[in-house]
Amino acid sequence: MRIIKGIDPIPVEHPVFLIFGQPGIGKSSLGYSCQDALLLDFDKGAHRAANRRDTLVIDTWTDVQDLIGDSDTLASYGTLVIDTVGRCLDVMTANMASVQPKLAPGGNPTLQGWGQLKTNFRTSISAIRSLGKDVLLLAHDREDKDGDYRIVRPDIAGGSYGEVMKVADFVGYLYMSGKDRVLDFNPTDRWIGKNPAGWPPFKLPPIAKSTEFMADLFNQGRDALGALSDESAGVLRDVEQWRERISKFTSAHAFNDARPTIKAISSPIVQTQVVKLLLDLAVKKGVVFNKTAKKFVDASNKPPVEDPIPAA
Amino acid sequence: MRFSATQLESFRLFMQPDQDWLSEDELLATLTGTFVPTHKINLGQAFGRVLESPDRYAVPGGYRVQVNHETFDFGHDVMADPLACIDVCGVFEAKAVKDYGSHQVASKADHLSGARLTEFKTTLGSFDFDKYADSYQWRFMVDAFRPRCVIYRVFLLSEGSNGVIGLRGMETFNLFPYAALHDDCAALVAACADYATVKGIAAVFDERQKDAVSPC
Repeated sequence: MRIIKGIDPIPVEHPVFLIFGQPGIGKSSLGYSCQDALLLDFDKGAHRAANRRDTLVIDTWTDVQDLIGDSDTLASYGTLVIDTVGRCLDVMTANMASVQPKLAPGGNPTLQGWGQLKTNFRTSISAIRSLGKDVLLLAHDREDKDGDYRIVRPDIAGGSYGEVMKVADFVGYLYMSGKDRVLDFNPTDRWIGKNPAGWPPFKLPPIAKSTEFMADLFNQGRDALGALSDESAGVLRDVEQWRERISKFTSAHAFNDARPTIKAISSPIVQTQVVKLLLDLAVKKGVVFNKTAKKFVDASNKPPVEDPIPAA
Repeated sequence: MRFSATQLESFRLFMQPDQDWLSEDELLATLTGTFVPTHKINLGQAFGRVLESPDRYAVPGGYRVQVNHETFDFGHDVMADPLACIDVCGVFEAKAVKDYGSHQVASKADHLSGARLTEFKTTLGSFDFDKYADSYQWRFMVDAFRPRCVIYRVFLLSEGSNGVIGLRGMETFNLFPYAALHDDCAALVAACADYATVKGIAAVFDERQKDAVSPC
């Protein structure tokens, strides 16, 4: 048993990426650029991809279940690529129609069937994540229209869309800009995204030279999530030090004395927490912030009690 | 002018081309602070209060909270899992103010822990990722608090005809800062300020800015 303390970082060993874009833009080829990739070809389109590596053509859901249960086969792969999530759900739906026909009569899920599909998808994603591999989810795009407003999202049906968006650490949109393929993880008013690494948009190298692109990106993503965890642990340590210091304040004078130092804290995420700690403790100590006087005073409206001056 | 992140999000929603559920009267009431909270809003507030201070609202069998003259009861079975996901190291309801030129935006984070900001949401409907991801509320908070990560915890509640609250599920997901976030926020503030001027309610926000005092 290994307990990680709150002030220590937690490494993210296997991030989940979601990349969506138009059919034919090179998503599968990008998938093959992952480290030791095994591409699960739900779309039956892997033959069109460049730089092709190991591929498992998925005909039925049983193929996926067999793979998940075959640790020997999986051992040589570092990344599982789901190509595409939308077609994966179609295969799951077909399986549900076979196993639980009342939930998907004629292959069309009922309302209850959609709920079950979401549950099945959630369970399957958890099973895939538990294999200890990097996971790349690929999806086609779809355009939502709201008046003149258009936004591009991954084409994933039903509640499973929310499941994917929850589980994905990184979400990037792959699109053409002139003759260039661009992968952008930043959300904009045109498409959605998740970018914990703060990456600028990537102009992808020609497909023939993209053989390691996603492997590098996964490593950078791992580092970025690790750095995020490190930074958060550092902030937590700073705030805890302030909590300790503030807990010793007993008078309005002490609270007022601390204000300039707290105001000078350069990190907003630290400063806002320290201010809240200060205000919460003030209430407990019978001290209030007087907005007119712009300083802390005793709640009884008496003049602030000065701390005793230490003897020389 | 001084706005709240919530007011700006209401303005953004109102401006969506095909929206028809928020009338202009309701928007103006939200902007000017005369909006009367709905039952769903009161329920969300009550739930949030228990998350923040369970001891304060504890009664035999669960928790009881009164919000805007409405009383809500939450059983232990409803609150056990939500309370278990709270990071006890953090602080609740921290405030921040961000300048956008001559305007200001005040926002309040439900929970901060380390460099992570958590928002608690309740819904009686189904989970809709886009509703939260498209929101500008978290964008304004990111711009003001500068967290490295925003965590949404969405509690799916049910309410029986007898008023009994149930917990149908919990959904959690992360969102992150991005390069153009500040510019996106600044554009919405400018649009809302123009709207307030045209509607003759700018003085309300000017007054709020004049009255604002921060302890630090």
